[in-house]
Formats: sequence, structure tokens, C-alpha cells
Amino acid sequence: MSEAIQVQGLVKTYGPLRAVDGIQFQVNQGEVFSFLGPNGAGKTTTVEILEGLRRATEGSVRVLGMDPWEEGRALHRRIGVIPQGFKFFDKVTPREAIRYYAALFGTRADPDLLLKRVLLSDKAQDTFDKLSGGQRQKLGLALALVSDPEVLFLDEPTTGLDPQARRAIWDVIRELRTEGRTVFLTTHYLDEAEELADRVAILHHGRIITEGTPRDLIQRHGSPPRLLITGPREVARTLKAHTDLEVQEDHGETHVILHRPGDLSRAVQTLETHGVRWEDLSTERDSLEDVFIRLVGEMDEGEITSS
Amino acid sequence: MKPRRIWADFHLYSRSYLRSPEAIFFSLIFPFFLILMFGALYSGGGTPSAVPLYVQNLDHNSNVSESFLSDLNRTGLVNVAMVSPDVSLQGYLTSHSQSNGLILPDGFGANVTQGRPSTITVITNPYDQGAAGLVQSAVGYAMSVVNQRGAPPLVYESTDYVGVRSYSTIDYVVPGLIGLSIITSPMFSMVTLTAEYKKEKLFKQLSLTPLTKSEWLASKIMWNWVVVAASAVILIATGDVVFHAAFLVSPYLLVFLLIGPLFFVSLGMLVGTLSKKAETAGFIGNLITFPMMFLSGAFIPVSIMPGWLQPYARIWPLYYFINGITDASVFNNPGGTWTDILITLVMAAVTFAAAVVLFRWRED
Ligand SMILES: Nc1ncnc2c1ncn2[C@@H]1O[C@H](COP(=O)(O)OP(=O)(O)O)[C@@H](O)[C@H]1O
Ligand SMILES: [Mg+2]
Repeated sequence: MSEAIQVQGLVKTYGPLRAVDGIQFQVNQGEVFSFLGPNGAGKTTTVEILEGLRRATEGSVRVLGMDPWEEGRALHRRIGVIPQGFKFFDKVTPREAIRYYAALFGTRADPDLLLKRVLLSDKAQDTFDKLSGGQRQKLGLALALVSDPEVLFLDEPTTGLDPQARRAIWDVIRELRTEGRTVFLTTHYLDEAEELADRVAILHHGRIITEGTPRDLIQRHGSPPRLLITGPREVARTLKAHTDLEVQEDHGETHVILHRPGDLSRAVQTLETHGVRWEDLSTERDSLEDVFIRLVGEMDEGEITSS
Repeated sequence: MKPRRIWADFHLYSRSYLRSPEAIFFSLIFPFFLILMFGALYSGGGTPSAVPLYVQNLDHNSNVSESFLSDLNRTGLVNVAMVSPDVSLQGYLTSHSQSNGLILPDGFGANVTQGRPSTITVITNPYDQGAAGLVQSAVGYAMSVVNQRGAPPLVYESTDYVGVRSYSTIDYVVPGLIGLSIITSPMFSMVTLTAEYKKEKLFKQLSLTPLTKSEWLASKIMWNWVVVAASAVILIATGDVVFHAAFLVSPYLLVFLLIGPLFFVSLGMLVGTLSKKAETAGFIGNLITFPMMFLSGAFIPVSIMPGWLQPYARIWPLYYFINGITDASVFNNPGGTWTDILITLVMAAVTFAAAVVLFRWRED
């Protein structure tokens, strides 16, 4: 079996609201799969259905071959979870928390080793209410690892954290992937998905608008890469006069849209041939963010005009 | 249920409990202040408060009956008040919201002088063991005076004789305050805990581990056993050392200290889990806890409450704990305790089962 997670026709309604509106996807074993979407998109609802914490209204869900709602107790021994906005008992220290989880799961997790792994050793003796947001998430990560899980569900693990704490958590997630664990990561940060995920699904209003590797998504939905040239006005004039390339001028910078593979070398060669000097050359491509904003924007516009 | 997991949860919970100053204050230091306060209030001059006893003398005021009544008064346990022989004493008591009466039969004096047995009727409220005890002690004393004069034994129509000792209100304070600990420590901690865990999604978090609901509940009950036992020790010791309150530490007491947290931990969790919001849970918890504390005899012994109020004490579960502890530890009357044990045990079992069934870790 190579799919860790399989979801078909999943719907979850809260009264009249269709929070998850018929989604379908699968996550392969050993893959980091990211659910990307703005607040209220239905990420947490989906994750909690996968964890067996909420019941699906319609559709079929399999995690490690099990039905999460019906076989939750067996499933929970094989998955690790950090819920959104992870909280723990106020007056308990990270070391005690890990010992507690190890006793509940009946595993031999070493608190010191786990704390070191998530870079929390220095706070091993502080009670939870004294920890910062990032330290709390690190503890969440450590607890999720106590049972040595095959699949991890991380619901917005870095939301609201400072860049340093984010990087630390990213490092741990990369390590989890190297160890062959499957990671289901929700986020509303595009750089996070781009940085960590093998595949991304963009979720909006309970539907998956698009899905693929970050590179795929950018290629499919982003605009083509651009060559940026800083230099005199002659640069743009020469390129316009001697090639059929799409050239734009923007504050002393010349943008050449690279529609075809040979476009870049043609532009540079043309400038060389005509002896035009430039100051700086670079290429630029759309980030996942640009794709996301474009897709979500198009979708909202569509909604407004159709209603 | 796995002992390993219950123990792990107990260990973690007890540690975090001990790190919270409010919890320590309310469960251990507060009872200490309460007993000092109520002890000072009730032990006042050291005189036991006498119970009113309504007497109907059908013996046409013979010398013997007069001296019997003055012996009764002399005990200081009762205040004798005379009722006309023409009315029904039961009816008189009911209409005056009183429960203690005594009837000296026609020919009482003649029987005593001529060596014939006589039956006197004692009316007490079986649910008010305190007052009944005082009345029976006083009557027992007056009878023993007659018997010493060589007259044939007097018989009286009451069964629960509890031994001769004069009881004072301070004796009721210890059982009352133990009852208070039995209700407050579990109720307050469980209502807030359940509401908070729900709000912070900690139950969801726990549902992702192998810990089960009943294991979680069991560990909370165990910890409250510790807390309630500790506050009982503080109350009994302070009552004994500072106020010389009569209190017998018996296995029956232990039974109530075990059933108490079982019942109120489950009840607190039910309240917390059935209310949608944390504020509602606190409100409903107080709505149950406060009247129960005041009306079950935790602060004011039921026997000195106004008569019309006394029957309402019996609708509160806590009453049976306090009544049972009073029977066992103050009156040394295990016979009276068994009913209370049975009642509280059934209530606790039903509430525990309801808590386990109705309490949801996760939502649909
Ligand atoms: N328990 C619930 N009851 C009612 N509505 C809910 C509940 N949980 C989530 N919702 C609604 O469902 C939608 C999706 O929420 P959620 O899954 O939390 O989104 P996300 O995690 O992507 O921010 C939101 O509109 C939210 O208000
Ligand atoms: Mg969410």
C-alpha cells in the first residue's frame, strides 16, 4: 500500500454551511503534503476528520487503511498530531508532558532526546504557561513524536511564530520526511508550503482549486519567468527593434517575458551583438503566493459576478 | 481500564494541582479557617444549646411526674414546655413546626409509687439524629433517677437510644465541614476543569492518546480522595485540639470519604460537559453547590434550622453524607449510617455511569 491517506467525495456541513464541499485527494507514504488556504477554507475541519476527531457528513476517508471515526483508537497509536493553536496543561513542564505521553502510549520515549530534537532542552523544567508560542509548538511537535508515528498531522504549526522558531520547526519537518514519515501540513503561509511540501493542494471555501507540486502549480497558474535587466534605455529600445520578444519598461528596468526556452539567450546575444552595456541581469518567477492570490482572486470575482 | 494510564494521569494531575495556589487554598487552608470560625461561633460559652421538648402530662400533675419533669430540665439538654392535656400532641407539634414531644401517661405517679411498670411516649424526628439524641439522653437521665429509687423499670417507646452524653453544637460542625469539603473540592475543581479543557480543546488532545474517559475520570476521583481525606484530617484534628469536639474516626467515616468524591467528581464533570459555555458551567455548578451547602447542614446543623426548613434538607444529596458522618462519628450509631451509605452509594454509581456515558471527548 503506497497511499497513507485517501479521501473521496468528502463533505462536512455545519448546519447550512458546507465547510468542506466535496474534496478528493490522496497522500502517498513518505510524502509531505500541504493543504494551503486562507482562514475558514476548511483546513482544520478536514484534518480533524482525518484524525477521527470529527465525523464526515459524506464521503470516504482512509488513513493507513483505517476509517478514522470508527477505528480511532487503533489509528491514534500510529499517527501524531499537533492541533491548531496547541495547548497543554498549564502547570506541567515539557519533560513531565513527554513522560506522561510515553506512559499513556506505553513507549520508551526519552524526554531529553526528544526535547533536544525539537530544540527545547533549555525549557525542560518550565511549566507550560511560561512558554512562548514557539516553545509551545515545539512541545506539541515533541509530543506528536512520542509514539513514533507513521503519519503526522500538523495544523498551522508555525502560525504567529517568529522567523527563528519557524525555521526550527521547518528543520524538524524536513527531518521527519527524511525518516520516511508522511506529513500532512496545513498552512496559510505560501513560503512554508513551497519550502516543505512535495505536493500542495489549494483549498478555498471548502473546495480544492488546484493541486500539484509547488513547481507544477507555478508553471500551470503563474505567469512565465522574466528576465530583468538594469541598464540604460537603449536596452529596451534595442531588444524591441531587433527581436520579437515581449519587452516591458519599468522604472529603469527592462523586463523580458520568457515565453519560450530560447528567449533568454536570444535577448542576451542581441544586446552583445549591438554592443549595449547593461548593469545587472537576473531572472524572476512567480512565487506560490502570486499563484495563490491570482487563483483565489479569480474565484472570488467569479462568485461575485455569478451571484 | 489500565492502571498504568490511570496512574500516569493521576501523577500528572496531582502535580499540576499542587502547583496551583488557589486549589491548595480552597481545599486545605480554607477548611481550617472555617472550622476556627464556626468553632468559635458555636462553642461560645461552652453551653450546649437545649432542644425544646413539648410535654403533655396526663397524670394530673402528680408529685412524681413533676419531679420527673424537673429532672429532665436539669439536664440542660432540653427545655420543657407544657402542652394542654386536651389536645393531640402530634397535632400540636405539627402545627407548631416542632418535632420533639413527650407524653406522661395517666396513672404514671401511682404506678411508680406502687411498683407497677409504666410506658412513657417519646416523639422525636428520626431524621434529626442530633435533637433526638439530646431528647433521649435527657429522658434516659430522668428515668435513671426514678429507677435509682427502686421503682420498677420504666419503658419508653422509642428505639434509637444513642447513649448518654451531652452534645453541643460544635459536635455538628466537624461533620458539616467535612461534608463541605466533600462537595466543594470536587465540584469546584471539576466544573472549572471540564469547562477549561473543553475550551482549550484539551479533551480532544487527550482523545488522541490511548487514555480513556473512564481512566481520566478515575484518576480525578482518586486525587479528590486524597484532597478530601487531607481536609478531613485537618478538620478533625482542629476540632479535637481546639474545641474538644466529639468525633469518632471509624471505618464508616472512610466509606463516606470514598463515596463523596466519586459522586461529586462525576456530578461536577456532568455539569461541565453538559453546559455549552464555560460561564454557564460555572453558574450551574454554583446553582447546585451553594443551596446544597447551606441546606444540607454543612454550616448550620439541620437540627437547629427552623422546623419548616428541616424537611427540605433531605432533598440534597449532601445531607446524606453529613447525616451519615454525624451518625457514625458523633453518635456512634452505625445502624443509622447504613441507610445513608446505601443512598449515597446508589446516587454515586448512577452519576458516575451517567458522566462516563454522556461525556464526549470529540464532536460529531
Ligand atoms: N464546530 C463548528 N461548528 C460550526 N462551524 C464551524 C465549526 N468548525 C468550523 N466551522 C466553520 O467552518 C469553516 C471552516 O473552518 P475551519 O475548518 O476551521 O477552517 P480553517 O482551518 O481552514 O481556517 C469556517 O467557516 C468555520 O467558521
Ligand atoms: Mg484552521
